[in-house]
Amino acid sequence: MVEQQSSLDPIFKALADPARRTILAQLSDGPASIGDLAAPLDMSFAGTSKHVGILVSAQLVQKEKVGRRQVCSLNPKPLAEIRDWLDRYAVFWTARLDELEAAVSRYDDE
Amino acid sequence: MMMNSETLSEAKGRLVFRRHLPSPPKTVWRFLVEDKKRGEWLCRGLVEPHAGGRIEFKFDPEEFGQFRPPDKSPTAYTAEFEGQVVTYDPDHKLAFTWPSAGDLEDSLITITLTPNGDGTNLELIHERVVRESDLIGSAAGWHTHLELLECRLSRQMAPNFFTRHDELEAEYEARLKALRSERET
Repeated sequence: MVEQQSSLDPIFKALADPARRTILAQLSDGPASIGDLAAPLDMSFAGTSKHVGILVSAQLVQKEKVGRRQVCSLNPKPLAEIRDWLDRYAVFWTARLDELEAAVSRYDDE
Repeated sequence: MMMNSETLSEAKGRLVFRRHLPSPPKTVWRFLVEDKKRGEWLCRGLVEPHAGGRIEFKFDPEEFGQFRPPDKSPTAYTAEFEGQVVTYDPDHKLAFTWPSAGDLEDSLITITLTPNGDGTNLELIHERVVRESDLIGSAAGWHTHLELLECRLSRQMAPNFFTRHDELEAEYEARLKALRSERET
């Protein structure tokens, strides 16, 4: 449990920034260079590279060098870890929703 | 003795920094091109000693030692990219490109060293900076980095790099706003 939380820490930290979430959203459409990622962010090349660096260290993004360009792509594995983490709470919500459904149908019957 | 100065011209996308440094050009040059020395005030990386060569920018705040942000994880600021050497004239002039966002042309940085007494006059021109946010970011960035170089050469304690950088960024943003309203009236 503790171990899993520590592996989620860098992922949630990386996601706790709107610019980095924008970068991830852009990469969900396919690989892009740092320059491409910087363009809609109104952020400098150096600033964007720093954000990409944080996403790379959280393993959400991988970087590949093509000549002088660095091409970034999405790594879905940590996102799957987050989904697994949320799924545990889905059990809880589903149970609550089942109760709600039962309560509503009882109300309808009355 | 030359006075330190900074000039921003938004219309031309140009920044000019002038600094008087306490060391001779020969020493300052080593801080421009030698991996470890360059890392103490700007970033580490290889500088190929000829026009057309590669210049690496490897930013890692760990290099700034006590100047790194106290509350951030050390990996939070690492960044790595590269440009191209345009002029390599030892002890005198170093020019190189810096990548830009999107399809914009790379910006150009020219650093010229001129001896002045026991020290050096350094002039840094950053041009082809098209976007306003880049102009502000570059101005604050160079200002903070040059301050670190001055402190390093005069063996003085520098302020925390990142606190100082954020302060200067706000200052340059205000300066640019003032420039613009001056032009409009």
